[in-house]
Amino acid sequence: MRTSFTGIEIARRALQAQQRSLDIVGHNVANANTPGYSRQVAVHTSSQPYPIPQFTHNPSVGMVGTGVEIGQITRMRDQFVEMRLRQESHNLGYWQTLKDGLTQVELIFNEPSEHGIHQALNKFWDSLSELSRNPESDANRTVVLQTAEALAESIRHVRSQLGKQRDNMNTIAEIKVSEINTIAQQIADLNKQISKVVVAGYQANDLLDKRDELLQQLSQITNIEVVESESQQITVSISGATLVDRTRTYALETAKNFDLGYERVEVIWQGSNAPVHVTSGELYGVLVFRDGTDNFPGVQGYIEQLNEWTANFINTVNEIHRQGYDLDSNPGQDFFVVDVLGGTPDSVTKEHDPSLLIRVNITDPNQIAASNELHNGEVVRGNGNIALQLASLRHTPYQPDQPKLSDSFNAIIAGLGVRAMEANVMVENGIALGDHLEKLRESISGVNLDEEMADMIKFQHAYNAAARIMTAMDEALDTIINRMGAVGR
Amino acid sequence: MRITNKSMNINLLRNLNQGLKRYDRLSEQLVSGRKVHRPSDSPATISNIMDLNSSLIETEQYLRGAADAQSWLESTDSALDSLTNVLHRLRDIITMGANDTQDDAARFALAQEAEQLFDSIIQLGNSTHGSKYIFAGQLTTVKPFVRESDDPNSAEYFNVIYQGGYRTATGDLTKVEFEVSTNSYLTVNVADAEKVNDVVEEKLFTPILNLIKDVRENLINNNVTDLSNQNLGELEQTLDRVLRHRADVGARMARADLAEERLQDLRLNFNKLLKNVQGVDYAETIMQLKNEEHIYRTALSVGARILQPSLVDFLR
Repeated sequence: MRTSFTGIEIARRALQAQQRSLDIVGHNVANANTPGYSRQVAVHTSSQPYPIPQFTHNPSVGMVGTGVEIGQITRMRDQFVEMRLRQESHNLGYWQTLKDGLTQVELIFNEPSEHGIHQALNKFWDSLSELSRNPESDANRTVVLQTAEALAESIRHVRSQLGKQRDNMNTIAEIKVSEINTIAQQIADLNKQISKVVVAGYQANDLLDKRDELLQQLSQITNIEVVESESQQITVSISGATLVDRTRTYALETAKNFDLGYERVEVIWQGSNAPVHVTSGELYGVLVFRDGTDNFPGVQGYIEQLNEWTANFINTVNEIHRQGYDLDSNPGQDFFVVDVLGGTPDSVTKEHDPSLLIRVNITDPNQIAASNELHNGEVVRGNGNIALQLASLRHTPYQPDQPKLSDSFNAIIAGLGVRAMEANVMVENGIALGDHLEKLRESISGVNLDEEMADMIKFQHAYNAAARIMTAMDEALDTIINRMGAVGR
Repeated sequence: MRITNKSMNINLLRNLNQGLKRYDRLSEQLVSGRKVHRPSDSPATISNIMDLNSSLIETEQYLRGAADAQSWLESTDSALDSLTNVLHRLRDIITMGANDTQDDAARFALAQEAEQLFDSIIQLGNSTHGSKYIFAGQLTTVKPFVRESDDPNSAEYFNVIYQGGYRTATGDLTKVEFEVSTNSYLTVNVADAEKVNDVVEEKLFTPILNLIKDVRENLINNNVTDLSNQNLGELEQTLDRVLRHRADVGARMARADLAEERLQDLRLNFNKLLKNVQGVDYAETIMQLKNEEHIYRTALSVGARILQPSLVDFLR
C-alpha cells in the first residue's frame, strides 16, 4: 500500500534539491571572479526506490521512485592541467626574475647613450688627441684630467650600481624564503582541515581550491613536487626534500656567507643546515641572477667582465704613460691607480675590483707625460707622442692579438643584450603558454554566467513545479480529510 | 572549448595590453627618433651603433686635427712668404751696393738697412702660432733664434744661436706631426737642423743670417767684388731653398685640404649609416602607429560589445 504522505515527501525532497542547486548557482556566481575557484556542480540522483507491495509477487511491475537527492557536489577540476600550470609557472617565475634583473643591468650600463662608459671613453680619447696637438697647453692638459676623472667616475658608478643590485638579490631571496615558509604552513593547515572533512565523508571543494591556489603561488617561487596521500592530504617537496608532509612543515632559512668574496645569502633547511636544491622558480632566478652559472653570467659575471676590462684599460694606459716624461721632466707615473690594502699594485688584475676602486692618480696637469723625448735632460714640451699613442688606442689594439679597448667593452654590452633578449623571449613564450593553460583551466573550472543563469532558470522552474505537486498533494489530502465521509451531515 | 566570462575578460585585457605595448614602443621610437633603446632591442645593432658612434667621434677629432694642421701650415707659409720678400729686398740691396756709382755714405745706409733685414729675419725665425714657436721643431716653447749678445756694439751681436730641435743619428726633434686619419700623420711645421760632430747646423735661417752679416760687412768695407761675385750667388741659393720649403708647405696644405674633404665625406657617411641603423623611418613608423591605434580602438569597441550582454540582461 502506498502511504498517504508519500507524495508530499517526494515533493519536499524535490524542493530541497532544487533549492540546494540554486544555492550552488548562487555560490558559483558569487565566486565567478575568485582566483583559483572551481565551478561546482550539484549532481542530482534519484533516491533509493522500493518494490511495490503487491498481493502477488510480480517483478515486472518494477519499483516505485522516491524522488531526488543531491548525490554529490562536484568540483570541476583537471589535475593534469593544474600540474602543467605549476610547471609552467616556476619556469616563468625563473625567467621573469632574470628578465627584470637584466633590464635593470641594461639601465645601469645605459648604452648606447650620451652618458655611458662608452661615451666617456670616447671623450677621454678625444682629449688625448687634442693634447697630442698641443702638448704644451695647460688648458688641454686640464681637459685630459677632467675627462679621465669623468671616465673613472662612470666606471665606478656602473660598478657600484651593479654591486647594489647584487646585494638586493640577497634581500629578495630572504623575502622569497619567508613567503615559502608562510605558504607551506598554510598548506599544512589546509591539509588538516581537508582530512577532517574528507574523513567525515564530505567533499572539501572550496578548501581544495584554496590549497591549489597556494600550490600555484608556491610553484611560482620554487620548483615543487606534489604527491597526494590519504584523505586527500598532500606532501610537497623541493627537489626530493620534504617541505610539507601532510600537517607537518619543514621550514627553510637563510644563512650568509662570503666564500666568493661578496655577501651571499644561501637557502638552507632549518635545523639540518643542508642546502636546499632549488632548480627553478623566482628563488632560483634570484640566486642565478646574483651569482651566475656556467652559461649565464649574472650580476657578479657582469661585475667581473667590467673588472677585467677596467684592469686591462688601466694597465694599458699606465704602461704607455710610464714611457713618457711630464712637464717637470720626470718619467710618467701611473695614470690610473687602484687603491687596495697595502698600496697601489703596479699591475692591476680583476681581483683588485678595479672598476670600484679606479682613481685618477695624476692630480697636477703638469704630471701628464705627453712627451716621449728628453733634450739635454729637459722634457721636449712640443712633443705629444705619448698622448698620441694613448689616443691611438681608440682605433688600434695595444697588443696585436687582442681586440681594441672599445671593442671589448662593446662585446660586454652586446653579450648583455643577447642575454636580455633571450630572457624577454622566454618570458613572452612562458606567458603565452601560461595563458593557454590558464584558458584551458578556465574552460574546465571557470564560471560562465550565462550557463549559471540557464541553470538557475532550470532549477527555478523545477522548484515551481515541485511546489505545484505539493499543492496537488495537499488538495488530494484535503479531499480525503475534509470532504470524505460527510454524507448526510 | 567552453568559454567563460572570466576568460573572455582575460583575453580582452591581454589583447588590449599587447596592443598598448606595441603602441608604446612605436611612440617611444617616434619621440626619441631612434629604433633601438636598449641592448636587448637588437644586440647586433647595438654593437654596430656603438662602433659607428665611435668612428663618428673619431672622424670629428681628425677633422679638428686637419683644421689645426691647416692653420699651422698657414702660419708657416705666411712666415716663409715674408722671408721671400725680405730676400728680394736683400737682392736689391746687394745689387745697389755692388753698383760702382754708389758712394760710401749710400753704402753705409744700405748696410743699415741690411741690419734691419737681419732683425726681421730673426723675428720671422721666432714666429709663433698661438704661443708656440713654429720654426723650433718640437721645442715649441724655446725661442729658437737668439743673438749671442744683445749689445749692438759687441762683435757677437750678429752671431745668432739656434736653440730649436734637431736631428741626430738616433732621434728627430724637428718634426711636429698631427694625426689626420687613422694611423696617418701630417708634418705641420718646417724645421731643418742637424747635429753633426756635436755642432748643430740649422739650414734655413742661419745661412740667410750669415749672408746678411756678410753683405753688411762687405757694404761697410766697400767690398764690391765680393758683393757681386759671391753674395749674389749665395742669395739665389738661399732663395731657392726657401722656395723649395714653400712648395713643400703648399703641398702639405693641399694634403690637409684633401684630408679635410675626405673626412667630411666620411663624417657624412657615418652619419648616414648611423641614421640608417638607429634612426626611425618616420613615414613608416607613423603609419604603423596609426595602424596600432586603429587596432587598439577596434579592440576597445569589440570589448565594449562582447562584455556587456549576458543572459542576465534578458531575464525578467
